[in-house]
Amino acid sequence: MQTVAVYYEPKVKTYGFNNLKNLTLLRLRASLDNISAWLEQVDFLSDSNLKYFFAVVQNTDGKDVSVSLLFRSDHVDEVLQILSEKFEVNPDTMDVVRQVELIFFQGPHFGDRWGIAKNAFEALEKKQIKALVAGCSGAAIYLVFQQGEVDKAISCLKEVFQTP
Amino acid sequence: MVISFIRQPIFAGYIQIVLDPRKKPQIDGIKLSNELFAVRLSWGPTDEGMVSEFCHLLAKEKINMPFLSVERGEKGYRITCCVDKEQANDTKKLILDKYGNFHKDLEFIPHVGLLSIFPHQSSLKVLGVALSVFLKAGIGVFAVASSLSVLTFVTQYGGLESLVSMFEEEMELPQDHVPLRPEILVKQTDIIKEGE
Repeated sequence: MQTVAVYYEPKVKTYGFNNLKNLTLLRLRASLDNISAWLEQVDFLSDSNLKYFFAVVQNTDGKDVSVSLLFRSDHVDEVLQILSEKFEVNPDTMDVVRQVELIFFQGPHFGDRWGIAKNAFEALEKKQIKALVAGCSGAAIYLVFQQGEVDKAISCLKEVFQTP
Repeated sequence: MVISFIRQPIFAGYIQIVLDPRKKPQIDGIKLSNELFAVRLSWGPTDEGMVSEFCHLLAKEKINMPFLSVERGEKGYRITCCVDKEQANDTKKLILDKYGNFHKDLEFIPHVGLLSIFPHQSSLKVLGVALSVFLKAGIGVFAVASSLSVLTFVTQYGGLESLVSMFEEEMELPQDHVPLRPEILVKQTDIIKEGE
């Protein structure tokens, strides 16, 4: 049985914008020669039951892997302490960006439709707001910003997306 | 988890991993995508507006990105995106016409797919074990992004079936679990017919 549903959107619908502040972005980097040690760090952290808000992993140019994890700021010191007990923590392998903010939102069939990411990034670009990390998968969009940018970013996004 | 490093010419190299059975995380399901085509692109910190420009480039030709990840660091921006395999040639041409002449950090990866597990429970254990599964399987991961409850991996399309078997071994899944596959076809148009 085939069911066809058609609807029209004068403005792209969302289910609303969610935001979180006072977060810290932890970036772990590893060369591929050292990937097992990196994975061991992630596994070691998993014993702590710390929860992340957003995760992005990228394998870059076949040489390096980076994982960006977003934690509550008051949890990051615990993360760093746990890691430093067993691993050498240095700026080459880890980057800590404190006081960042997160916007996440979703809408109907976002993952199946063209133009959604364009709408979001163009709106932000017009106001010179740049995401530190972003991920669009499934029907959700996650955007991480420097402190103080999330409210401006939501205003920009509301110009191109409809909220309930 | 015990990881012994043997040799790893690529991300999913030859690595022997022994997962601690006490650490089996519980998930409710796995979702697989159709075959996709991936693009990885990097550029310097001075090239502002490139993310927006890149998204505009694909959107104007009605090319959807079922997966997109963007990172901005000291060295600049890095994008990984996937498009439907039917739009691979159009995507490649658009990108090469726009960036090909000067972009050395541009890579096209055919025959990729998305493997999504849910719920991720914001758990580092789920993330760590999942990445270990890929390494153990010797199947590459090109990018990962989390969303509300789903953790999505961009990987080799041909490896999806064997990855499902390995996830079933390394994670607790419901007994009647079967991987979900795309069932709903969404067609989007900017043409509005009269009366609609």
